[in-house]
Amino acid sequence: MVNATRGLLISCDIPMAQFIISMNNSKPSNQKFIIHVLDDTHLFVQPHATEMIRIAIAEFREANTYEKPA
Amino acid sequence: MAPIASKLYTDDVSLVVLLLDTNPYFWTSSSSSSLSFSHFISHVLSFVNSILLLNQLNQVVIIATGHNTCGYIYDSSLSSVSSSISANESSGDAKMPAFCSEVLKSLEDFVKNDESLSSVDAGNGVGSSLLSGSLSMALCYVQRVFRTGPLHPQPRILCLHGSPDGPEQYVAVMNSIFSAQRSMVPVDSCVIGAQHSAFLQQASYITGGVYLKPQYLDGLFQYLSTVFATDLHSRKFIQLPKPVGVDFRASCFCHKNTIDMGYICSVCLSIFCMPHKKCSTCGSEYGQAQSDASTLSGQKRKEPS
Amino acid sequence: MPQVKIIAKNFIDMVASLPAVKLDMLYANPFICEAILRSLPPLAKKYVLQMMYIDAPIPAKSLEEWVLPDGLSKHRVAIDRLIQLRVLSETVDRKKETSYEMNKKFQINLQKQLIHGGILPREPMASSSVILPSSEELEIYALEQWEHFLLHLISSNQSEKLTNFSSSMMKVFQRGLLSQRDKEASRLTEYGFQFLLMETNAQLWYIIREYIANAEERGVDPANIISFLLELSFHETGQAYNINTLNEVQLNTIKDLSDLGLVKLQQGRKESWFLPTKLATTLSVSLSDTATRKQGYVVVETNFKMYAYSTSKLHCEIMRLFARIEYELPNLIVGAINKESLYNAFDNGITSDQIVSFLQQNAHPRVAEKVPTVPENVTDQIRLWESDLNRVEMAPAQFYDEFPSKDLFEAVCDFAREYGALLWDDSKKMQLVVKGELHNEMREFLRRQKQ
Repeated sequence: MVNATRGLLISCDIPMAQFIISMNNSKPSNQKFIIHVLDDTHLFVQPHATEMIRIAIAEFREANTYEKPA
Repeated sequence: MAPIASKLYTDDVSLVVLLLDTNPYFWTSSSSSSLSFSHFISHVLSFVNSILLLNQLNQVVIIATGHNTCGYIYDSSLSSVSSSISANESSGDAKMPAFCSEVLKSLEDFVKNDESLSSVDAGNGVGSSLLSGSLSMALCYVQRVFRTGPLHPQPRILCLHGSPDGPEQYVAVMNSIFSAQRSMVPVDSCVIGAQHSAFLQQASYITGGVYLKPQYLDGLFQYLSTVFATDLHSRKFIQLPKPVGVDFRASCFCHKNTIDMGYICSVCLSIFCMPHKKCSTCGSEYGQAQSDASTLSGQKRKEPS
Repeated sequence: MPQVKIIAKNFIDMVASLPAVKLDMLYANPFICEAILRSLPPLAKKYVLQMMYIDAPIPAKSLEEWVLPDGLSKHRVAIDRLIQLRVLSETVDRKKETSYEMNKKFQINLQKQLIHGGILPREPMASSSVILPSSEELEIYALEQWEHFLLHLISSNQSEKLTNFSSSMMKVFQRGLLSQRDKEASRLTEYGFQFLLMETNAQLWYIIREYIANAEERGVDPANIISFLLELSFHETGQAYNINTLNEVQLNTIKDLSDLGLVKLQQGRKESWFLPTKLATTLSVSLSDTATRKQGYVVVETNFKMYAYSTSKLHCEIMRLFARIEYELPNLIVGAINKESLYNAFDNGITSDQIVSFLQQNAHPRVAEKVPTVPENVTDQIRLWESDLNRVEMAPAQFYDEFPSKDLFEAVCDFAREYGALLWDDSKKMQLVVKGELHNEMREFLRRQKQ
């Protein structure tokens, strides 16, 4: 019997995928959000994780930039 | 060298330089019996108006090819309708009555001038018109347009010709054809005379233009608007008359006769019908015997030391 | 720039969507026929020219023979446009063959234009009775008016002059561009930002389109306004035309047009007249793909610095959208493009393409002839910064696995593919991911397959 799961498909590049996986691993087990790791560039996660992932990526991006003090 | 077509300018803005054949010998001869000059002019003026109608920025320049001289008849970017404000860009669509009479007046002046310049002994048969002169004038105008900056219309030359080819103009015409090819200006030709014109066939073939000899001269306007009003951008998409067979015969440089077989200078490739001792174009001497050649080359070899 | 085409095409679409009766009435004016002809794609223009003196209907097959195989798609586009504008009418006879015939009024008017040229319904006034401003003064006036209008549009407190437009008209214009939130100053919407970066003609067309669309509500027939506008574009720039040659509708419109900078109204002792500016006469040019030949003013250097030789406040505001303004000098605005300012712009909905094409089109003549106009490292970096924001794509989806057989898996894959909803599949593991919206249909499909 075919099994259907509702969720969110994430397609990105390989480093981003690894980042999300590591973020998932660092979370306590009741807050893990990855349902399946499909392949190198695709992940299937729980639907509520959208905002969390977006914020985490933004923080990661800001952490890598230097702003000249105005 | 080649003009950079700006992406910001619309695709179909064109500059058409019209070369009108006003050779009196042709127009009064029997070859032009089906079309009188006044009818011809009315077809041409309607065609010019239709080009100016298609796009606000289109430009048309008319150059008349006479028997002894050539001259500018009309330039649509210079015409101003009202006298108070001089040459405005947007007055390209001149009111018809003013533009017609302007053209007709200039043509009249030109023909009178042409006649006055003709020498006494020009009565042998149907003379040819100065195609090379008007082609050169057209190309000079196009070069000036290229230098006005990055935004300019795409130029092309349309030659409405009827007189027979004058072999004495072969060299000059070929030179202008090659410079047109270099600047990527197509030369279209519409032949209204009785016979095909080898010069124009070659011109259209080399520069990538269209050559047409209409069958029914009464419908000249329809031929012009169907084939020759196509702008350069749309030519990739529309079926146009293909060249049937181009007459590539050259004329010799010494007597200006059309020849099939001849002698060629090995230095500058000029064509002669009879063997010469010395090339008139580049001045190189040939026809020397073997013994002379070896002493000459011997002398030459001594120089570098 | 594709946006002019989109906006202007929308104007022509608006004309095309007028009811057939109104459109035919519009074609009674020869200048409108000319303006419509000029707005067609080049292939369509050729067809009209060729068919101008042919009275009988032409079979569609003959028309197709005119085109090379490469051009068939353009041919279809041209024919569709012509039918949409009712220039060509299509008839299908009993043998199921289509043929096209040209609109008679359109044809006759164009023939007249061809042979007699266009005669405007009004003549310019003699120069003895009017004092004409020079063409530079007129152009400066037009630009000033337009910029005041734009500034007033964006933020009512920034411009000094008040416009004649009633506040309700301004609200209509601002409808798509500004968003009003309670207790907050109005902010520019995403479309508002894009609007600012468009070039003048596109902006003009947008405003005019809104104006005309709104005309019906005010009880004015839009066809009249359209015909007046198109007629205006055939007048001569800088020539005075007497006001008493306008009818009532046109009189009302002309006051609004002078606010936009399209015409200048002047009054003498006995008469008053209007002068069309360059903005008006080049209006119809941009109906097709052209851009204005305005002089650019921006120089972008490889060190990401931007120099704008302009004094206009509007230009400063526009540049503030995506660059950090460092100095404002009497004739120069100096700014720098950096990541922060660009992220700001991207947050507001501007795309990197718009920024790059704005820079390219407004390039100062000194750099305009260089290839490329804007240094490649700058354009590449702008695009990279944009793509950095979009590294991850998320889509609500359904995940299906544990298929009993490969056939069922293939069938489900094909089913999803037909709807364009297949996002990911793996045939080895027999798993697939489908767009979330398709879930109900998928359930139905699976139920049917089981039987």
